[in-house]
Amino acid sequence: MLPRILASAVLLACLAPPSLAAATPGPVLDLARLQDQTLPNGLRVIIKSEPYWRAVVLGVVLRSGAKDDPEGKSGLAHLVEHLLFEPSQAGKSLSVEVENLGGFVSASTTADFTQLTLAVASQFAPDLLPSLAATVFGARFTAEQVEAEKTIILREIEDRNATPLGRLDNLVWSLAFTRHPYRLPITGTAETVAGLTVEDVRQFYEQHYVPGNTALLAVGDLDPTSLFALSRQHFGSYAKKDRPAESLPAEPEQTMPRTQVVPLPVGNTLLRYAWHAPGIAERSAVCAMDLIYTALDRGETSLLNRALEQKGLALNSQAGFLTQKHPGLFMITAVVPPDKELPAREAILSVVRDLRERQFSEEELGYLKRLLYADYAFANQSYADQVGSLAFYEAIDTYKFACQYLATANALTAEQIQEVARRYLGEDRFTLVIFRPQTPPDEGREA
Amino acid sequence: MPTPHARNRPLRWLGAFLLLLLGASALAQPVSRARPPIVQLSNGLKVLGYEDRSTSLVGVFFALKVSAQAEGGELRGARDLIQEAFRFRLEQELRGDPRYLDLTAALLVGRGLNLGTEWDYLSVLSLCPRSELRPLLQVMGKVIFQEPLTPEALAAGRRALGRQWQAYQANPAEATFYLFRRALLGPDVGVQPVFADPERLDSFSPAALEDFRARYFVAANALLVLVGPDQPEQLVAEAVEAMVNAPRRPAPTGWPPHFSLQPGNVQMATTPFLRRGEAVAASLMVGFRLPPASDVDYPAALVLFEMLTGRQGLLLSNQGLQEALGLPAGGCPPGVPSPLQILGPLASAVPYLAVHVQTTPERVGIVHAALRGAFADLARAAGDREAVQRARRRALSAQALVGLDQSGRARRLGEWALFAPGWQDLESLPRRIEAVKPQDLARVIKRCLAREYVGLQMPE
Repeated sequence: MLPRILASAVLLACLAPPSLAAATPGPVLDLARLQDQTLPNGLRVIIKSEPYWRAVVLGVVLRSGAKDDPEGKSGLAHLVEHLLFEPSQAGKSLSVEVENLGGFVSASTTADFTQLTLAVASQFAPDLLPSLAATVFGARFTAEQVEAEKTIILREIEDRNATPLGRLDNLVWSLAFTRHPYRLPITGTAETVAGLTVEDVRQFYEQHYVPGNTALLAVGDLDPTSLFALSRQHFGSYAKKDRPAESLPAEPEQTMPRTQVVPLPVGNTLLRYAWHAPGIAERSAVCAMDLIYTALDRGETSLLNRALEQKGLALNSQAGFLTQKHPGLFMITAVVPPDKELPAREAILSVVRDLRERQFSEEELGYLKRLLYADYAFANQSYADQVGSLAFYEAIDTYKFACQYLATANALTAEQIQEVARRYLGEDRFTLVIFRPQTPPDEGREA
Repeated sequence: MPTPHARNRPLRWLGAFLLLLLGASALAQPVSRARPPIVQLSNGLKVLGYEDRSTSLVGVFFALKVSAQAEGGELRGARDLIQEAFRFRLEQELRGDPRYLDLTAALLVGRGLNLGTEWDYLSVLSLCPRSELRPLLQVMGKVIFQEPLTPEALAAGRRALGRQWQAYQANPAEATFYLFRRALLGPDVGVQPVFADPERLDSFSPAALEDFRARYFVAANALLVLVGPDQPEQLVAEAVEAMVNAPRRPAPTGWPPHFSLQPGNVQMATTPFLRRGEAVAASLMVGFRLPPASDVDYPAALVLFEMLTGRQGLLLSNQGLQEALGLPAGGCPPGVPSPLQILGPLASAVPYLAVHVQTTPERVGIVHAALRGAFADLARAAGDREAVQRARRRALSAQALVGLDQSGRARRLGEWALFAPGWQDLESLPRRIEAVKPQDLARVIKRCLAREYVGLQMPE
């Protein structure tokens, strides 16, 4: 997992791979500092005790997300997540309770999972557990709440569709996937959301918000023994229920390029290539993809920057890869001047071809592994970041992989990385979406 | 739950200091042995090491006690220019050097190094891998204490500030805040904006800048806080190794800056930046001076501030203020930015609380009256047990959540070491907040809210 960050305002002018003289850095997430238990009802509890500052971040992650939306009801998982913050029948709302304790609370829905995160001074964490448990396993919904929340989500969808990047993202996933639910937008569409009912919400909640599908995570100033006991007390009273069986349609192999051109009133051309990429079942392969992504995206001497920005072929370029439960997408996005679209496309495909044909040198690979280490260390700098990483991997695999991630990446050889590039970044297996200015100078030409 | 902050490790520290005193003549006596103490090197630099093994990174907070008062009128903006020159040199040094590989990677993603110019002090905040701490400190020591300001670095600083000046001018809230500070602190040279216009920056002679730098940017005028995965004495030892060669020069006098108590007043100005097409706005900031961190009433001031904040606080739940701001009943709808920002009480020479509102020129009087109504509610709410309990809890979390990562923790410890009698007092702050009683709040209200300070900008 790596954050997708636009390489804007990059600070450094020149970064040739230097020799590795620095001392060996310490572990970012040390497995020895983590404890876990599974309650009799199936809830997993994962704790990292950090007694250095009086703060605690709690997270609840549910192994269900937009991929689990029933057919024709895309956006349902996201709608349910929104509704978690509505006041319960007793008039209590978790978000108000957290706010009154001076903390913050956030929630998100991805294709694979749903997550709640809250942070407070450590002494208040035990007070929040009953409300957190009631929110996750004991919520009740009314038709009025559902209709009010739908209005907010419809506005979110409208806002997202109003931006070229939002539209591009939806279009790429819907074109690259033909059967798997990753093809559908997480928020749903205006049509599917409008059709969702309180019965849909209740059914999804009863099926997915169950102990066997959920993990509670905590990082901060806490006593694990005490927190395990409190978890049993407040979460353990909910009946044992396992996660629903997952039966998602397999995505057929893509053997031919798929291209879509959309004329838009934009000044520059926005384009994105996407290749099918490994899922978490192939741990070494996802780490190899992260190293490839690092080579392409990080810094002004990254492969993309040298091939595009430094040659005047693009104003900005970015590579992106998010590890997912099922095989997802590896993407390259570029903003290019309209008259440079064809050479920019050729340059991107040439960079990818080079990844297939050439192995990284030992020096290059060492450098990439250090960059990956730094990226991962800074992505886990706060208690909230650490809850995020642990929850992420627990949702799609096991939290332990968050601790084993760097070791897995460090064990990779240049040959193994090249093999992954050959297997996934095939010449004819990409999807390409182009948002082209409505009056392009080279209209009619096609690569 | 354990309270590890109450741990006392005097024996370990005693041993560590004997070792350091024998092995490193750079060290003088510790300030205190009751907690991991602030250590003073022979060149005067004060260093605090704080053990934190939650990640492999080290939070670095470095502060120079150079306030805006030190610039006088002639060198207004010089501190910011020198900071930008440092930024240029630090990045130049770190760029591509294999010793700083992970830090370099952090810089590539916009992390790793953050230089700040506050009114009361200058700071460098960093989060670096433990393995790169010493080289980072070596570079900081060289750039900040030893090498002269080069024309190249100053030119780079001027370019960077020229770009920031445009943004500063276009943001009316910045200028309103300056007017508020003038009302709060009076016509003192230390009130002047930290930014200066490009012409002024060009007018500084290199000799004047170097004199200023030589006087104030000295080890004895600085504090370094390191929060990371090591024993405190090991973290301090890194600073000794890296920075002990910085020259020993006397610390300047005159810090912290002093501002006499002003009578309540209004500072007003006009600006073209409040006109955008047909839209015309006014920018209003109203606030009060609060007791400093060293004052017995500081915890009560923190609780008082929290009584105003949040959806159930006295500002956003005040019906009169909602009406004056044109908000629907129940406050700001989800997803809509609040027209009201609440600032304060930061660790600084003069803490304050202030509310900034952007409204239409004709509604300024109505909004100001509504704000006064909300502030007046504080006296009533101070006697409301539930409201006080809620505010105490919010104040406790606010103190804890500033330190969710090591750089936040390093900054918090550093600010407390600068403005409170000792950083160890931070450990007792939660207990003092929990002990705040209605009569403490009533005392602070009487002491502080009688004098109202206002900054107001109207459209030209």
